[in-house]
Amino acid sequence: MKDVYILAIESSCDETSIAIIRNGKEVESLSISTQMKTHAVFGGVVPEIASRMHTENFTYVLEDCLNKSSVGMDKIDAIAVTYKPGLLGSLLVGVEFAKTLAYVYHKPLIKVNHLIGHIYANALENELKFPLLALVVSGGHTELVIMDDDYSFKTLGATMDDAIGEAYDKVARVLNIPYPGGPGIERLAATGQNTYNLPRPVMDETYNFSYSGLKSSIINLVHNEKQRGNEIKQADLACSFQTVAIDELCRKLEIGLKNTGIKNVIVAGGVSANNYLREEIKKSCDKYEANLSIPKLLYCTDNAAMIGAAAYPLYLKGEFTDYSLNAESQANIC
Amino acid sequence: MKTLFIDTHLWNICIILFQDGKVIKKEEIIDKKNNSELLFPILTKVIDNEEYEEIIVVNGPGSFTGVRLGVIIAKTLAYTQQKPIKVISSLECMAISSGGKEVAFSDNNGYYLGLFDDNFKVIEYKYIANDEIINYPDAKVKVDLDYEKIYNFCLTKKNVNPHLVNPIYIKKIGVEK
Repeated sequence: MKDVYILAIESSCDETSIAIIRNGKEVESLSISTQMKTHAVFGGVVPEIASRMHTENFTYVLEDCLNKSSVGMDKIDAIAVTYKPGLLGSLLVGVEFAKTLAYVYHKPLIKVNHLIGHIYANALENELKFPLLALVVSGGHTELVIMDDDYSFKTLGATMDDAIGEAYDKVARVLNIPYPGGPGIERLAATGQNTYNLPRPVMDETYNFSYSGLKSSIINLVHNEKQRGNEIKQADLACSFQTVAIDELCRKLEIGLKNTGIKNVIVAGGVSANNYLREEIKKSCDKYEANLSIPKLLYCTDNAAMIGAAAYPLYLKGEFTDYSLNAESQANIC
Repeated sequence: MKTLFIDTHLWNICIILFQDGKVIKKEEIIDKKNNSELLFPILTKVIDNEEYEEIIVVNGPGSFTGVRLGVIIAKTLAYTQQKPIKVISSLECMAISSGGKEVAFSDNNGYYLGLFDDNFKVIEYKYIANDEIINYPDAKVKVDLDYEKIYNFCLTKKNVNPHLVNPIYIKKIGVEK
């Protein structure tokens, strides 16, 4: 069969990224322009600034991506773009940029859900084996999903309040850890002990997650200790938080493995870059003799390669979109 | 010579194809909020089966998102098709069309104001509160754009590297204040 080359575009948050992907798995070229340092000054992503920087960066990122690859635009079979979920203004810049490329080069346009992109980041390394359990962990989502085939999703459970990444960010703020908070907590936790007795989120046998109670208990604890004039052991608190937060993910995953008998697990989303999570999920999978796939760190955070991987099954099915494509800020996997 | 003109700086969108300075095709969207759905389809109505040699884009100020969408499309067309591109501001368009040296338009929260010299060179752009507009009694606030005058004015402008074609915003955002 002829090779399929997809040029993929991602701009849902603070990364401007373009990639060329062959057959949904080989990364021919990947360019990422990150705005992290700009937003760090403000303690978080400023949506208007993100949109402005995407507008400034896209043609440069395209030039860089094409220069790194031997595949020219003539060989590209389709243009793929993230259209949901994310920052609306940022998504729109990417969507209109993608339409322009599709128009100029006469290529079909494929719209991709960013969350499904994170799932297909795993396809860049190993072929997805179905059925599988996908654990999606990001700033906006915490979900356990069954996939029986490409683009067949059934949600077992999801967070009832905050996402795990959101809890990391908020706890980081309480502990005065600079943006981005997740990696900061992880580094701090590695030097501490699990000494604070924090409440376990949802001690039941459902697949529901909850992180707002855990977050609130830390905010209250820090507040109370300050009032009493007691010092907070930052590293110990970070470690205690991380232990409870990730143990809960593992516990729910294990319930899923036990109940479904599924033997393939993939992890997706920005929080999958967390090393403690990677180690603990591996232990859970080993316990149930399940195969585990977690993307390498480069593909855990936002990137266009995963969008190209997620676009490939849609290309094979001929699911193309037209120039009236709009962006959407909110979306679920299914 | 044909020229593509893109103006998306407000909720009213205007895409024009000029031939030697005369408007030969024009598509507009008036007061619609779903511009991202409508913009590219009306652009294709204007440029399908047409060859144009250059692009002019209105790069603001105005609706932040509106300007950005016109600019990202225009600069990407120019970059990929290797066509020359020029920029003109929304306030220049108003001044050239009206002959006024002071022009302003409202975005409900305030006014974008442009002050020009006798040759329509920009003296200053600023964003002022609604009650400050009385300090500029000569400012023209309702202007019907004259696209052929705008085209002729652009003849005096230099081409811009497509990478460097970017919106001008003027109005400060929360974190800048």
